Amino acid sequence: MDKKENNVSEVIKGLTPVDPKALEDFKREMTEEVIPEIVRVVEERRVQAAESRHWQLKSLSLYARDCSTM
Amino acid sequence: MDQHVDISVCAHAACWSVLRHYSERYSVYREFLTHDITMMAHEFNPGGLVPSKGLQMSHAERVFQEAGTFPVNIARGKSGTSDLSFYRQLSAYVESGFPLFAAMSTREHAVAVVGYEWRSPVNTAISGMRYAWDEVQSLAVVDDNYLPYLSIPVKGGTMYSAQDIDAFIVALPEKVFYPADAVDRLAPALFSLGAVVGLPPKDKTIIRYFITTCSALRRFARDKESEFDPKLLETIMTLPFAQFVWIVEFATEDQWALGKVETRAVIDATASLLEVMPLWLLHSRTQALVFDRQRVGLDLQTGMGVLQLSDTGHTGFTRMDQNLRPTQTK
Repeated sequence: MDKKENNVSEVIKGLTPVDPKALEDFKREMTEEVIPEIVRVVEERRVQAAESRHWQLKSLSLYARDCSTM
Repeated sequence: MDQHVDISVCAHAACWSVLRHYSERYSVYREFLTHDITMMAHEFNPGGLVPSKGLQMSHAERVFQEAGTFPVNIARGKSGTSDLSFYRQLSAYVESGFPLFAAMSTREHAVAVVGYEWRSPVNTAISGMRYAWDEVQSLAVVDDNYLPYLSIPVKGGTMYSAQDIDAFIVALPEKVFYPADAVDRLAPALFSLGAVVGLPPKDKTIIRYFITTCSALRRFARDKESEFDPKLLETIMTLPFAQFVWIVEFATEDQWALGKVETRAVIDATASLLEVMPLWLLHSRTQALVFDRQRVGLDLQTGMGVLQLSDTGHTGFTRMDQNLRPTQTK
């Protein structure tokens, strides 16, 4: 990536600044609600995934049942 | 598949189904036989080729890792079938073109989820934001006990349904860091930017998200060139996207029925969980918010800008539906 590509506002013509007030609600929602919620949910998923790793997908009992019907 | 249970069980067959798709679609992945998969499931050869001691989710994860992919294991939350985020992610990955290894712990069974069928579009009197998962009627699975492409309903049914799936593994490529859980939470928050970029009313919107490559996004935009303002098209072609991006599409009920979308967000799949603005682009038919990923983390003001677009006169952008196609009833 060359230096020019690093600055999007130079590459894309016609960009105008965003009204800071229009971003306030989004920024507040992200920092106070969404990001903490994402961090919490991702951690919960990690724990649930760790528990699921031990699930038997073909148990001894099923194996025995299948063998008995062969 | 008429199989000997001492050589392969349902989980092996599901792994094979997923990896077969990869080897056929992407040249970077080799083909694996069921024997390879049985051997890949364990760190060492336990003798007797198992699976007399059963196969665990961790073994399936190991198979995908050994095959050169980067598996992500997603399990349903303690709320069970009320964990709709789990099912939204499941459908998002299938929409993205990834067949899934899906586990049903109570049945000790595994299948490969390879597709879905949407229900007929309906206008509902119920207000409230919906997701693409809410529009799914059935999933297409590969179950080794039946012929391929078995259709299972979202709930109910005579055998089992999508609600019996309580974990799945998606074998992702490298460098997909921003998880679907984060996209699922971020998508509704984007309505707060509605004052800058036009978004449909939140309670009348259907949200659909999936992951794709930047080259697929550019190819799609080029194919639908007439729908895009030239400035927006140039922006999509110019932005230095990461290789993988999450796409979030916002559509009204009417647009959904026509396969159209009102607004589209492009999210950086390599973003950190803690980023306030993990986006590359958010655009409607009249405005586009463009993000400078190098700067937006340091200063929101200078790291983004608005493009005013000329309305090209259509009723919505075409839904980006070029991965796995929904199954159609014949």
